[in-house]
Amino acid sequence: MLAEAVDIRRWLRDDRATPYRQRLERDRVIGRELDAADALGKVLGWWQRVRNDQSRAPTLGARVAAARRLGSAALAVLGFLIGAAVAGVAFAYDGRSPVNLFTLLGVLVGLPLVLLLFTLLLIPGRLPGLGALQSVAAGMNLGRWIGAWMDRLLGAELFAPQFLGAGSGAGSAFSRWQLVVFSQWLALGFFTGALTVALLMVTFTDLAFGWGTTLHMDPAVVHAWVAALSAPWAPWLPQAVPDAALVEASRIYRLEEARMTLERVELLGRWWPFVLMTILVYGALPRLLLMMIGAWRLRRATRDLLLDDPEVTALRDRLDAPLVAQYGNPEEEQLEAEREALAGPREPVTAEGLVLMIWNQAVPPDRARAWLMQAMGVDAAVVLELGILQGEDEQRSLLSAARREVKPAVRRVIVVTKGWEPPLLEFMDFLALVRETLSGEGSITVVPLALSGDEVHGAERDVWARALARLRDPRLYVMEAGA
Amino acid sequence: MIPTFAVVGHPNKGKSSTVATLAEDERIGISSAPGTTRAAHRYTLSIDDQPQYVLVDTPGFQRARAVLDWLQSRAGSAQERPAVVASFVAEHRDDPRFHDEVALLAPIVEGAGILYVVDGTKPYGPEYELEMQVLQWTGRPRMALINLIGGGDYVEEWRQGLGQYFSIVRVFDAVRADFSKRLALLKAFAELDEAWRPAIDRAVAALTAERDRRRQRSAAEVAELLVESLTMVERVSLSESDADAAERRREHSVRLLERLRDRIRKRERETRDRVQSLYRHQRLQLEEAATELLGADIFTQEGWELFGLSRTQLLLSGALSGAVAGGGVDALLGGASLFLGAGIGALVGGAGAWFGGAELARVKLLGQPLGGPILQVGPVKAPNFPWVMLGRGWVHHHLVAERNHARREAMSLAMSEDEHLMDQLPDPLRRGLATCFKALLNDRADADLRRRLVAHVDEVLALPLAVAD
Repeated sequence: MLAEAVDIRRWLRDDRATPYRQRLERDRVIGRELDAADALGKVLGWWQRVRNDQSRAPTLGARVAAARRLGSAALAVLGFLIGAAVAGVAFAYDGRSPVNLFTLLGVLVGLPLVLLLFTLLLIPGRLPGLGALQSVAAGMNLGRWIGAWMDRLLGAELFAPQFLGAGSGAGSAFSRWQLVVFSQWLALGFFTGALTVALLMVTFTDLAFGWGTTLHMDPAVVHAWVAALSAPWAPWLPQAVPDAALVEASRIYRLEEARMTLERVELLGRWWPFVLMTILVYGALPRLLLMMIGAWRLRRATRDLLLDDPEVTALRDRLDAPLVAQYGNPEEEQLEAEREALAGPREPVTAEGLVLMIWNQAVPPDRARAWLMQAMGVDAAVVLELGILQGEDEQRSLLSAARREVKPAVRRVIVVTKGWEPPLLEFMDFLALVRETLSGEGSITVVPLALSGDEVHGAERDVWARALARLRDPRLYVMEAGA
Repeated sequence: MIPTFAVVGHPNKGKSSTVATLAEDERIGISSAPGTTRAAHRYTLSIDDQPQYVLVDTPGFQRARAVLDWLQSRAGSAQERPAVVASFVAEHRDDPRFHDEVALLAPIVEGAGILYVVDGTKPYGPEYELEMQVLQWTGRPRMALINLIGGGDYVEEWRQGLGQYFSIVRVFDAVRADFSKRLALLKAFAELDEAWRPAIDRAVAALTAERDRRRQRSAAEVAELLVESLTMVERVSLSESDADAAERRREHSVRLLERLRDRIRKRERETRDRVQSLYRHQRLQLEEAATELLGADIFTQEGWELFGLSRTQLLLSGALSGAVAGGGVDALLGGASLFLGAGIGALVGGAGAWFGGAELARVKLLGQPLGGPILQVGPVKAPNFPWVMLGRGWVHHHLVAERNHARREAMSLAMSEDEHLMDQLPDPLRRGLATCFKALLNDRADADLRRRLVAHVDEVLALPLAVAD
């Protein structure tokens, strides 16, 4: 799972560049097709689908997993060699003085137990007051160095910052348990090597064991200790439980080599099952147990490393949550920019031939007249109120009547309209009708008025100018404020 | 049939804004120029590919008078009217003169409900009645929405006019409506036709759940920003000459501080982009005055390391390893050495680690030195820093979550330094956050702490906030 954890996290980090909507749709489609009920199964199932498109070149995750296997194997081999070497020295017996059990077990069981304590110190995470000791324990651990090498060489960003308990929770737990497992590979290699050498020496050489110490120690006490140590295997392996006579007879003093009779040598050789069982039960078995626990917890920590990653949490949301999509295609064709209708004509404005029209009740007639007087200083010959509520025929007849009324001819038409409303096509139709029936060659000036009664200006005027430009009438104008 | 709602009306009265808001689609063209919408566009809300309702954005009426004249010239009785409207659409499908009317009437003829949009800030005009009459002729269920585009107030005038033609009249500010108002409007759609209620109810429930998920995801993003900002460091390996020159070290530390600032700013921008993506505001532009996120309270330290171990840790590790090895020799000698082995081992191991470590640190692997003197800036230890970051995340989320997809101007993130946002938090929540921040500042971000932090931030984001864009 480590390879997947590394690859998925990295892939999702890169996937942030994919538009969110696209990720939502992609992942929900996959999520609905997945059968797995648990979170990990879903994430791995999702990964199977998305990686189908990936190249089959070894991924970073595969390289990290391979490096971990290599590191574990290297530690096991190193441990085996150290164990074999230490056991070779510890079991060394030249026939003069028996192998001292205290020394032997101290080196092969006692010291590893001390180191085991150091390893256990790493498990709970950072302990208040023990941080320095934990750092040192981690620093001594060969597994840490392997993790650091993996980070440096592969860029895995998994181990180094977190070995000492710092960093994110899931990553920290992962690196701690990885350290524990690495340590156990070394330790199990050590005990395999030590036990192999011990068995070989028991088989191919004659060994004699004894116990001796400068301290005053009663053989009965030693026997009690030995019996207590042998308790785990005593019921089913009695020959590996030294009796009191053997303990009594095994006390050695280096100055009494003369007492070494053949019977006594044979007697002292009977310790070997106890020695091997002690190494096995108090040395190798705790390590094996810790390896099993460590492997189990490492698997869980790897799972957490994957599932607690913020990007993976977001992915799980996307897999599980119904996809609420609102889709459409709003792309619009853009109307071509058209030339603006010109501002009002500059020639002097006279009342002669001037028709004022009020479109769609933009303003009352008296206000329209007042505006005309104020803006242009003239009054209109004719004022017409027209609008969409009239049909085209009615508009046409009103315009024709106005044409007959204005003498000698209509020279200019001013159309006042609601500047707050948009210029509609029906207004364009009306302007075309005005041109056709009323104004002839005269000018038509449209005056969009704001709610305040002033002419619109700026962007609002531009809207009108652009709309009227579509009529392509060279004598159609939009009033410019202040013109 | 899937409930379908045609959003119709006069040009430039906020039809597209209404659709953009309801469909959460910032791509919809909105302009002050009339006729921006030239064709009907359908926006479908679906839950897992199951369509729940469709909104149709339509062009505005351009020749309502002519349409009504055509209809009136052909219908005899009231019951014939819908069929006459359908025949108008059929006959004028390729007529450029009625392009817009056909586009807006076609979905209605096909069974859509009508949402007629007017601008309540402009006066009511009798010319609108022609449009309303045309819509009345379709015989479809219809609702009027009084949109508020400008500053005037003619809502009552409009209510009276619209009341003649529409059974439901609602005021809906398409550009400023928050989520609750959008949801309320959606619920009102169901009142148009009882048959549409189940689909609309499902859509409302899904949108509400989606809203919660967006907030939770935003909370996770803001929490992650906090964790990263509070644990971020910038470090550089010093050369031997750098390590000896105070001026060079000072230059390095200024540069590192700037890099740390840039990284935190960049990380905050990334978080904001992600939050905006969650709320479908990918195109949103932010306006924000430059602020100094980091004060002077930045942890700067010089040291030496090899594989992440400080020199002291390396010394202790070496000494302890030596002592254990020496202890083994003592044990092999049966204690006759009086622990001299352990002592010598510790000395040799310690000295070896100290001097050998220095040599090893100079070794380059793949062009990188294995260790050596380092200068590190960060993490930020200022107690108020996480609160400032949280406050900024809170304000940004609030503005984004409540922001309408019809708004197109840049979002202003102006925050006054006098705003004591955190005073608005309930005490238990503030205490919970303080505990999390303390643990973060002490570099103890375990998975449980992160979960608690996300939950607390989610609570914060769910709180109402009196900040306006």
